[in-house]
Amino acid sequence: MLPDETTSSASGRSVKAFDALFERFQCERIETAILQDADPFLETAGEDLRRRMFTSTGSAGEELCLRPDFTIPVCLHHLKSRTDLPRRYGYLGPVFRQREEGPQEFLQAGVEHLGRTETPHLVDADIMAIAVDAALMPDPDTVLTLKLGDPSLFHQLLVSLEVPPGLRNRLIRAFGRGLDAATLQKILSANEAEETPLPADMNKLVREPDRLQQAVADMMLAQGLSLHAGRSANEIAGRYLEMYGPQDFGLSDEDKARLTAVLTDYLLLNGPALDMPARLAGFEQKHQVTFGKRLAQFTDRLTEFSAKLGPSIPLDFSFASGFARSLDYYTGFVFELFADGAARPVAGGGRYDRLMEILGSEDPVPAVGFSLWLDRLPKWGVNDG
Amino acid sequence: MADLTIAIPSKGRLKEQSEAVFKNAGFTIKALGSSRSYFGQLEGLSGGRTADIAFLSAGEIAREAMRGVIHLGVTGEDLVRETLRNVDDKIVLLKPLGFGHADVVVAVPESWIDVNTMEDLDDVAAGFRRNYGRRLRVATKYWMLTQSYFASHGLGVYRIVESLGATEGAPAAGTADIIVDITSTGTTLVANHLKILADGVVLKSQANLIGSRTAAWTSASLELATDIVQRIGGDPKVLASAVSL
Repeated sequence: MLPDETTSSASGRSVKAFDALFERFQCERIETAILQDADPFLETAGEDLRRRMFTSTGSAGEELCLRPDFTIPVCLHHLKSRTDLPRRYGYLGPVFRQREEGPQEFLQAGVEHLGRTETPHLVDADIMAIAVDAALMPDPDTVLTLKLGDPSLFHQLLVSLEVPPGLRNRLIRAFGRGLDAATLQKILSANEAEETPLPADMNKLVREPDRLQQAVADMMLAQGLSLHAGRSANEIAGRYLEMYGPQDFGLSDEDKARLTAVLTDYLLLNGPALDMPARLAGFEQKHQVTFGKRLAQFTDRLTEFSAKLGPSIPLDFSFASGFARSLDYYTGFVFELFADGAARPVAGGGRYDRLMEILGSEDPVPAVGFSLWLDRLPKWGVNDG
Repeated sequence: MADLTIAIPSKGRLKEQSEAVFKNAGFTIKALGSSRSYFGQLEGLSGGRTADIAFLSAGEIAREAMRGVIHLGVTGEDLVRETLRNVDDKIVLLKPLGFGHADVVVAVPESWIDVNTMEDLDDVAAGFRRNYGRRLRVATKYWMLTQSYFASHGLGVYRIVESLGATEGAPAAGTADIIVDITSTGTTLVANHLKILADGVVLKSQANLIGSRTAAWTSASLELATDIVQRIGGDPKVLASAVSL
């Protein structure tokens, strides 16, 4: 669907409002190109994003795209500018996504905070507070709902339950896509019925990891595969033994039953966010597990955020234990803001400590930010004049 | 110009087999001009009428049906599904024709003894960047089919490397890690030391009589098409409910 007229040029009023917001929270306003190299987007978000991007080929054969979001261009801009950290960037402008319904060109604004700090949870709280402020700019009487999730609690729970790494990674990925009891069952029973589909001469090596690895390497060479260009024999043999080896994920039936019970119970931890520190502590007691320092960080983030917000803002603030993002560079807490009970969020954000490295940073750069969809805000929808 | 245009593959086994379908149903195909002409006529329709025939490549037939340039056509389901996402809005499959069998499959090197299912592949893809500093690479000419099939298994972090020929050689050549390609007997895959994942069949494809939902349909063209669909063994009601006059 092509708009009759542009729906994505920022109006004078919103530009002014965001400039003021950025100044108030010490964000450096930056402009990034609309036409971007497609590669960083595909390399970070994966091929799945291609379906939602507008792509084209440049004269030198390079693949280009219309900016589908700001986070990646902002991070790339920072990497190129080599300025000091920490640093906070603000942006406002059109983004482009293929959608079946609604405009495919729309305005986004947001903030990205890059750089290490002693107290990341305080920066998290800061970012959430700026998002709330931004969402209230068009109309201070908007009733906002904030949904909070923290996948790092789930990760820590799996560590505490001593879930073997292969299974742990599966559970974490399923968690990112929205884990429910049925999926949990399916994952835990995935390997029960499998035979060990191995060439006969390898079967006897299953209990001898070194020789199995050598057999895989021999097979790769015999079949014309480089030992260095792709997966290593070491990874293949190791993963085989873990997933298809003599023991089913290395777990006994009792282990599985306990895992199922604890994780199912964890997915029921939903409700008012401010009740959660106590409920999570109760959960630790009940199941003899520990969230470690993740729980303290969660609580500090919450306390700091409530303090920043003050009592005057109408905000329904909830925690959903299963709320996460499927992108693998999101590492910590996530949040979404909803306006006046609408189904789609007006803003979304979270911590993405792994992104900068994927984009080529030599050192890890912790990062957190949010994006706001201007067309979903009451009163500021489009062309507010 | 006749009221109905049908597209038929312009060369090879597909052309012969498509023409046989029409001949067996009592139609005559007449090439116009030289035997290498790209236009022809279908005779033997009810009331002594004729339809236009366009000889096109199988891939073009799917695209032209999508754009509504032809009313009916014969082409592989794989090519139809590769042309457009939500292709069912534009094209209706009227009758599988029993030839041109080819499965679109996900195949990995045999030496990947730990990868037998899409779930395994998902594990491997997720760890690829951490282990090897890049994403898993998939060689294919089926962008659309690969993207939707992988997405339906929750698999998003990989890169497609476009491959327009000899796709099965890509892993050994080092240009990709795995492939998504067509296979009819599986011998090429075996010869290249590739194995199909247990749940790696993306599509079981064969040649189909297809109808364009976007073409300009009149009662005259629908009448001719109904005659053809019926005599080839398809259900004309499917066509009638898919197009609007």
